Amino acid sequence: MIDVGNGRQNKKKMRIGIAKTLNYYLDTIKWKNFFNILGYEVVLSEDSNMGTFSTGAKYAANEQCFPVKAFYGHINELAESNVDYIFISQVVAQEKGTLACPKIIGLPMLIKNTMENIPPVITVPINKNDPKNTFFKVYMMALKLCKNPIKAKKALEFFKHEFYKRPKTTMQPFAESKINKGSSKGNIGIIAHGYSVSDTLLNMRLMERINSYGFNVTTINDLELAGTLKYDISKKYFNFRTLHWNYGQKVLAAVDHFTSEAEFDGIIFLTYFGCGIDAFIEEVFKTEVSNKMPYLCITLDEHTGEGGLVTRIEAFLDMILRKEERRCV
Amino acid sequence: MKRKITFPHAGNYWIAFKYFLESCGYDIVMPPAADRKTLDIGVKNAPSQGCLPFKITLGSVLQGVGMGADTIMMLGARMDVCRVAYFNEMYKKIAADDGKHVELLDLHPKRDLWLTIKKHCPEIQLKDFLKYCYGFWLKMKLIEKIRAEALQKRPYEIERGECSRISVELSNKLSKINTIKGMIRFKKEVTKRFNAIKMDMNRKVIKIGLVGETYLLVDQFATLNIEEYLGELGVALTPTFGFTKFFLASSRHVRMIDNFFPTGRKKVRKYAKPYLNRPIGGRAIQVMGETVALGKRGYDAVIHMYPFSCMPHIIADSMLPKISSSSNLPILGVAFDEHTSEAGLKTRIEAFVDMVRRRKSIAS
Repeated sequence: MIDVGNGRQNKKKMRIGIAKTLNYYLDTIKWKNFFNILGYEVVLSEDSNMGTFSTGAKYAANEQCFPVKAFYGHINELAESNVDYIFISQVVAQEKGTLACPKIIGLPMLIKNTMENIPPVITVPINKNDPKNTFFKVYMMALKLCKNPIKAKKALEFFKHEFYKRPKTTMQPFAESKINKGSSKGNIGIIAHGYSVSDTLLNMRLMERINSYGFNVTTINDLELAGTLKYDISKKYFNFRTLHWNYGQKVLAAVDHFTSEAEFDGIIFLTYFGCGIDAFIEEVFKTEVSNKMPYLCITLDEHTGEGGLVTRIEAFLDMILRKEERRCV
Repeated sequence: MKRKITFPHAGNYWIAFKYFLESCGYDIVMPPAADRKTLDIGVKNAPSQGCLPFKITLGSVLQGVGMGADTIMMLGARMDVCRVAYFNEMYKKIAADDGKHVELLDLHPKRDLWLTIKKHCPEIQLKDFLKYCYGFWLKMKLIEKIRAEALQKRPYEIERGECSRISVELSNKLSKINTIKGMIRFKKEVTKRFNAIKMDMNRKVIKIGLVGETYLLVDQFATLNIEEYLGELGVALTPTFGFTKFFLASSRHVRMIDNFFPTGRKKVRKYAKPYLNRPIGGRAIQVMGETVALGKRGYDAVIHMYPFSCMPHIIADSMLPKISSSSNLPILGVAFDEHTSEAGLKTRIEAFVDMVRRRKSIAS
């Protein structure tokens, strides 16, 4: 049967693939709406699972950290689903006067130069230190994709609105714990990178496990935190030079919050083997926190066995319960 | 009461630091030369994921503080450089955990260097300070010249170990020179001494460029003295970094001048553009650009040295294979940490050098 429908409606939309990990959870721009304005369809990769990770480990260098290896897996999945372009935003600075982790900044160029046979990679820098350059690059990308200056301008206006919006505090509903506050055995504060909290492979279902033991969980994403240098928490409370990573500022602010509020019983710091930033940040607050409340640092990597992780969490939670009992007696 | 100052070891730069700080009016507490014991102290006190340069310098500094110092001098902080920006605060914190209170002196070409030194040593005058800065610069240049000459001449030497012996002798002589005139005259003496050694110019020597992280390119203990071994294998090395380059890049004024009188900095960034469109920290973008530049200048191979867990360099190392295939240049990436064994490292280097030689002889 000959199709005589309206040619414009039946024209297939070009597809852009975005990996649903790492910087998807970091930057606050709704890329799906942005690309829809330009007339493209956005395809997200599946949630991370062990299959993603094992394909990613084949392409990534051995010394890369765990989240980057999972990212490679997502890109591979997008490449296999035959999208026309892959979009990776280059998050350079999320707050003015700060910088993001070197791996996050270098991620698009890394993927471009180390993976073969993938669709063309398009990228724009998201840099709060230089908004003019960011807007210029976004406009040029929009123009290249849709070749219509009016649509590109409309997309740019949408982007500007999103750029100046304050970040949402959480991307996943872990703020509402499944247990009533009254019946929980205690409150645990979790400090981790923004993407670790939201991606269940990267945190190995840590929050669910703690919930299943009857504890409430508050993560760094749930707090309304100022990651700006104006707050300058490192100088005030830790007597340390101002960290130029906005993630570092957020961590110290979260530590300060968890240790000063009476309702928290313990802190867990989730990090990855090979994360250089975490190693130094932990050194800043470790002594202060260990003197005030139970503190556990979990280092994950691809060799983490579930048994080992469960044992450590159980031991930590047991210790908190015993401390409470002794206090009550 | 003079302040007692100490500093971490980095190659032979202690000569320049000692001259500068003694002239300004400090009492120097020289930590012992870096060896296994230094590394053990550093490893015990540092965070386990810290990089090798941090552990070695921490060990040096803690030894110095243990010998009675109350001030630590360290390279100053810049935002685009990696975690090095926090090293000096980390030293202070770790020393404080041990119960020793120290103060810091940040060495960077900024006004607050002068203000801090004036606070510590009130008798110093500004014009003398500027003279000492110039002397400091000259001494660093001479240290780098001695090292560069040794690396170029060692593959040709007939008596094994002569270059190393002359380097040690010249370094000791340099540490005793304290006048600007003496330093300017010393440059000629260095060239004369190195030209006077007996060389066999018929040997087939290959040219390899060294790129990588700042500390590993200047320190011999951190790299297990691999440059001497490479010289014995008949390789002429060219390191692409010295502390003079670091100080030049730190100064805002020099960076502005670079726009009109090119110092090579912009060219390096231009070559790196297809691989890294902006600096990501550390020396990643310089590594990419310098590798391309070395390929264009006709070098036979490139060795990329970096500490294990150094994030920007892991990214650069992942992209070097692409440069290797497009410029037709063999590249070897070596990661160093406290568990690197000398035997394993030597085996890898020997195999690499053999491959480069065979490739060159097949091509010619």
